[in-house]
Amino acid sequence: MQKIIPLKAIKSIIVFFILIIYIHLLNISVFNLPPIGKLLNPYSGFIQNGLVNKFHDIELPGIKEEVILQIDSLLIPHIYAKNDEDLYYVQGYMHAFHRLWQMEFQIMSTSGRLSEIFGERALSRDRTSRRKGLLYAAKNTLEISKKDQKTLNFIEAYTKGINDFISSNDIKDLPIEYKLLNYKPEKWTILKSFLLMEQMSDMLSRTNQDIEDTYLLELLGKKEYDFLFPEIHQEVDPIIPRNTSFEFAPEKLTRKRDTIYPKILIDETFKKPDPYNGSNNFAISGKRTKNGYPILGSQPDLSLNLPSIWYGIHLNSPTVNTMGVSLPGAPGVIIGFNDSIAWGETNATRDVVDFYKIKFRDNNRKEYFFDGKWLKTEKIIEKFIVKNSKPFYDTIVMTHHGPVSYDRNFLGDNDKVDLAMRWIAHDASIEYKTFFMLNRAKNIYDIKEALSYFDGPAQNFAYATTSGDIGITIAGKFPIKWKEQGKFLLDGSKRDHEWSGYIPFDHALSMINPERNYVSSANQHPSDKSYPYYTYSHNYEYYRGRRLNDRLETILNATVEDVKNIQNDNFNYIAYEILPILLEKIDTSNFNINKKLTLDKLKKWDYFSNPQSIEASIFETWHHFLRGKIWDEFDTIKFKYRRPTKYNTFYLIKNYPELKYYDIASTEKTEKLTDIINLSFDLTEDSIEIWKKSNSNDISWKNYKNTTVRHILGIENFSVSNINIGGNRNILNAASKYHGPSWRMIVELDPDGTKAWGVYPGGQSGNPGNINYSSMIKDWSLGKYNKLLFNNFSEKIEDQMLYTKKFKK
Amino acid sequence: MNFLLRVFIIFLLSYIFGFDSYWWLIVIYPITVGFIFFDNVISHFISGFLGVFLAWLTLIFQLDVATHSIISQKIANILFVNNNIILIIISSLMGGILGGIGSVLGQLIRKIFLKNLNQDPYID
Repeated sequence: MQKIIPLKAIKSIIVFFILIIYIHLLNISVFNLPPIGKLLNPYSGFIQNGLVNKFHDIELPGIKEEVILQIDSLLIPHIYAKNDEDLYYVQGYMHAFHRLWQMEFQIMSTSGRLSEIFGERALSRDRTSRRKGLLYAAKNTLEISKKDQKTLNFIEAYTKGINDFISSNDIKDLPIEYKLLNYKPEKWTILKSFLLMEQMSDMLSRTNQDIEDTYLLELLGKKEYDFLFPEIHQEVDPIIPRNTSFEFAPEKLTRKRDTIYPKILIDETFKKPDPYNGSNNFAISGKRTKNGYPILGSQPDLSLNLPSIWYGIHLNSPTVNTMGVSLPGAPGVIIGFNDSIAWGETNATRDVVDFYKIKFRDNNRKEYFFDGKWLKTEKIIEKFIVKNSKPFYDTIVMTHHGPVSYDRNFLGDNDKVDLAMRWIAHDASIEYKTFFMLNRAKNIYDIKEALSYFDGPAQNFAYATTSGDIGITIAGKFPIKWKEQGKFLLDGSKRDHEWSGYIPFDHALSMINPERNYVSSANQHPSDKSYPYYTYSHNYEYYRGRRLNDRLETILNATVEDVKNIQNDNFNYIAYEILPILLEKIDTSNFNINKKLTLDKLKKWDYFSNPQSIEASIFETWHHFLRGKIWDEFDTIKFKYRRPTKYNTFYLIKNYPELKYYDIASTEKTEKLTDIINLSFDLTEDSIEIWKKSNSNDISWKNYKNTTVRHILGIENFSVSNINIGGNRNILNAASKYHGPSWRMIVELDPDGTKAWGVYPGGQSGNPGNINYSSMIKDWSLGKYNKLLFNNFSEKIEDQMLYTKKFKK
Repeated sequence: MNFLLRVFIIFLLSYIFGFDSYWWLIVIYPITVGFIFFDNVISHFISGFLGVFLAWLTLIFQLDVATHSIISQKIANILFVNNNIILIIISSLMGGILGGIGSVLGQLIRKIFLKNLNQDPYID
């Protein structure tokens, strides 16, 4: 018997180990797949994310007084609190309730911590984030925010709301992305809310071509460079109209203009923000509207993502009653309205990032040369936790200009290049104060006061009030620069290459109640040369602003419907300006019947890139090939460069029938403009035939363009594609493939109660298993809006609500 | 009867008392049942398997129907299964195997402690 018992024990032990191994294998990630057991089990796996709207889980343990929470059919929370701390506490709680994963993931990305989730493949991206100084900037802001107790209290209450949600949240209720990627949420902090603002700056104010343009300047010479890359064109209709006179005495330049730039060549630069991050906004005075009240329209164009970048919310306390969209991770309303005013932002685009070439004393990089002296550097060791690997350390050298972003350790071409980054976003500033004040503003004076605290990312704020005022102000911290300062790389050893201080807020471009009775912006140039400060950006937009003003000029009794039509306007200004010229030069002598038909269609086109338009598909392909053929010389350039803009390309075609660039470098023949127009038309035909073979016969613009709202991780099944929408970049309805109007808002400033309509391409819930994850996309594509429920709390509207609950302390 | 009773007990416990934080803890149900009832290990594997398999199948199907299969369809596509029904069956099979191994383990442990098999009070 004694022999049998050990045998049985051994059997048990073997089975026990099989069991342990089985469970273990299901709990770890193999072949980059999520842990299958965690994901598939019915108790805490994916199926729990299918549950809709778990409102009964809402608890609000941290409130100080009674709070009423209502949630409407769009899942927009309406929060009625008796004090502001409770108000922002519940906002934080609801942001986390619907968008926890997105909020945290954005912060992980901004602070350069994606390697903790994805391992080594995210390391380069993380290093870029840290080298851009995003974390460093947020820490600066955190320090200064401690001086403004009220603002800090609000952000603290907001943070507590998020954390109370996180700690009450069961594993089974975690957003699906945590389950797929196998990690858990951390505590939220005030720093993280500041990091979110840095992320906005990264997206909106970091754009620059300093490295590329320095190279092009060297390659082309100044004359040719200016010819190909002019700063402005005559046709531009700036935000502040031409020939406006400015009464203030401008600040003096304390630095001398010095145009000897460092010369460097570099293979690769930091990934740029999307150049099409833009928007449009406008306010029409009551003198031009049918009902006699001002109307404000705001439409920020951003990357089309799910979960959506915006989150609708209504905040009500004794000090504030405001509604609009907020950013998950940030307290307050960012674009919206209250009982007295409405406001909206577009990106101001102006260049506020410059690179300085640093000369170190020696290899130790302890000192660098500046203004005849050797200054000390500071070294920051950045630690990166890398999943399934050892931690990685990166040394970032700090100068008084900013972090040395490009150096021997990163993209610096083996110690040949050291570039320090000077960026407005590095400076401490509390943009939240602006939004807290705007949310409470009653008139244009309050608005002006609020905007004076706004440093960046610089925005064109359009606003309107129930007392009948309208206005636009370009708010942000702008350096005073000599002409062309910061357009090219600067020399970090010269004092004259430093900025001369900042433009005072009183000198900001601003316009209130202009004679034309409307204000507008669409990322175009802020002003002409009458403004006494240098306002360069390589990325001002040339088309949407003109179309917007054309439309506003023609409408004299504007209604909300008119404003909807403007926001959904598919007029293709590029086609209107250039297509007739291209068609003139087409040689039809060898055309077959198909080509002739295509050409006839284009000739009859009304230039509207509507969803069903076939002409739009053909035209967009055609000018794409044409630009490729014109600037083919550039493609052989070894180092990082950029091509001339669309606007300038078409300007040259119109005005310069003979240019050396029309020749195709790779052929023996010397091509003329007519040749490449015809050649690119042939290529268009071929390319569309190929597209048809691999896709479908239907080349309607919506199919061909395939507008897609992508999940942040690019997970196809969490994304929505082939959306029935027209428009494109450079069109007011700016929906391109992955980019477009991220929120459409219209507000009528009726003194008896502000009325508002809005829609965005997504839904309030961040859960791909919830119907409200992407429910607004269809309405958004069709130009339909939701009336926003903006009232003081009353029992009457309860039946329009999915959920109403009074929370006692 | 013994067999069906075992399946039923495991089914009921796994269906009602799941664990959110450590999903695999439900293995204690098939282990316990495997320990209490006497039978050969193959029979125990099958009863443990069926108990958990059916519990998971029911749970997941119920939730899936209630939530219009939105999430199951998406996850099925992500995991290259492409059909939410197949995904649900795979999930349940995974639970079933857990139950089966658990019950076998319970029975084997029983055999260590009870020297004389014929003394089993529950024998048919």
